[in-house]
Amino acid sequence: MALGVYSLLEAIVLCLNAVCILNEDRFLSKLPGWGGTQVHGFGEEPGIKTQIFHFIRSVKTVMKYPLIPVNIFIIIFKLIFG
Amino acid sequence: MIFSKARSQEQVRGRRIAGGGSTPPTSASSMYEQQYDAYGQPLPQQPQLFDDTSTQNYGYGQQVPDYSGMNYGYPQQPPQGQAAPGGGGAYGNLQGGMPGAQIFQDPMVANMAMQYGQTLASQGREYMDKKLEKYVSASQVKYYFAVDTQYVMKKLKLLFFPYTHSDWSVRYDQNQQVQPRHEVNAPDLYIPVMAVVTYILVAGLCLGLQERFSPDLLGIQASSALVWLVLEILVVLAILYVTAIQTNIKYLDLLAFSSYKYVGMIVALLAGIIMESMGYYCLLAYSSFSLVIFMFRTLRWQVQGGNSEMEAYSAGNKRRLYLLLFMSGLQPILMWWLTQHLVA
Repeated sequence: MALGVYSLLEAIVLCLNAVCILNEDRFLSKLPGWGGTQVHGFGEEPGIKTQIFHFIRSVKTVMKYPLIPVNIFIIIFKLIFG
Repeated sequence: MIFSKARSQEQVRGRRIAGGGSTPPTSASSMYEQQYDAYGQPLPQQPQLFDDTSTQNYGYGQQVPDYSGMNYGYPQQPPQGQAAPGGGGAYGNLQGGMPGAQIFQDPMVANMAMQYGQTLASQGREYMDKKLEKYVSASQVKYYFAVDTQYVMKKLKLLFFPYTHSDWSVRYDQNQQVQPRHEVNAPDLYIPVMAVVTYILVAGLCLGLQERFSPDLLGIQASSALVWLVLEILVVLAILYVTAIQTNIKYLDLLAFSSYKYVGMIVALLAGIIMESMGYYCLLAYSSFSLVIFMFRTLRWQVQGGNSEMEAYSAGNKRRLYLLLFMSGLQPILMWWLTQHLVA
């Protein structure tokens, strides 16, 4: 399978889009364990679910605004060059 | 080409030392006279490729420019003893008709320009180093290339025959890993880099033998290999983060470990060339097997033994084990995936 660098970048952008789209109110709050801000002690292991939630939250915070121009650029690029 | 009588004896090509200029060749006047070397033998005529302006006076006398571009362009003639045309590049000139270029003949200006260029270059390099320091620190990378022949031989032997090696620990030297040159179990980046490049070349060879070769295919192979590497490292990093395993593994270590499979792939591909599918599958199976054992044992030490032994029975052990199995098991799959389209 001939993956190129551009395909990799596109795949990464699409995955980040997918993470950022998850709606906070309608979906994420309904998940059990979402409001986990109290797990900052020196517990043995934070647990997979808390780690994933941390990850989702940080990606949304960091990537929400930069992803908009990146997506616009890719859309225009694909419109012009097909 | 103009043959100077004085210079035809020397087989000087290319760079001519500035200041070696003496009087311009008298033969410059006419290009159609028969010219003679020091022994009175007639020199072979060469068709004139460029306008001869070497008699033109420069600003500072007979300062000859550094090297003559004409030396590389003369028509191919076999050297004929003393009158070898190779010695002929006497006073090639670089004045391509640009009047403003004469200012650079001035040595002061040339010096200043060179110095300025050098300071610019070093500043640029410092800037780039500072920027890159955050991501890939150069001193770190240098550690991975501190290898010698002994290490490479031993490591390659380990990659294909890890069964008898008993001690997989890495010695530490004041909190920092000992250089690969002194410690056979330490990861390095030299073998991976060489292996990736050789893999691309061998892939080109395979394609060529099947009449499927074209240069852009080679580029596609190269970027494909790199992309799979990056993907694998990203997946492993993601798993490391999500399962919150505490390890001492650095990113460059992971890169090194992920690229050891290219050595096995090269061997399998070469066997595939020699013995068609049978050789390929046999060697692929063997090298995946030994690579799996190698990875498992090395990583077990790296992922676990880096910490002290008091955490030996923490809950993270099971996760570590799964991660190790996953990483080791991923190698044969990727080895097969990346090579199977190359073998007939």
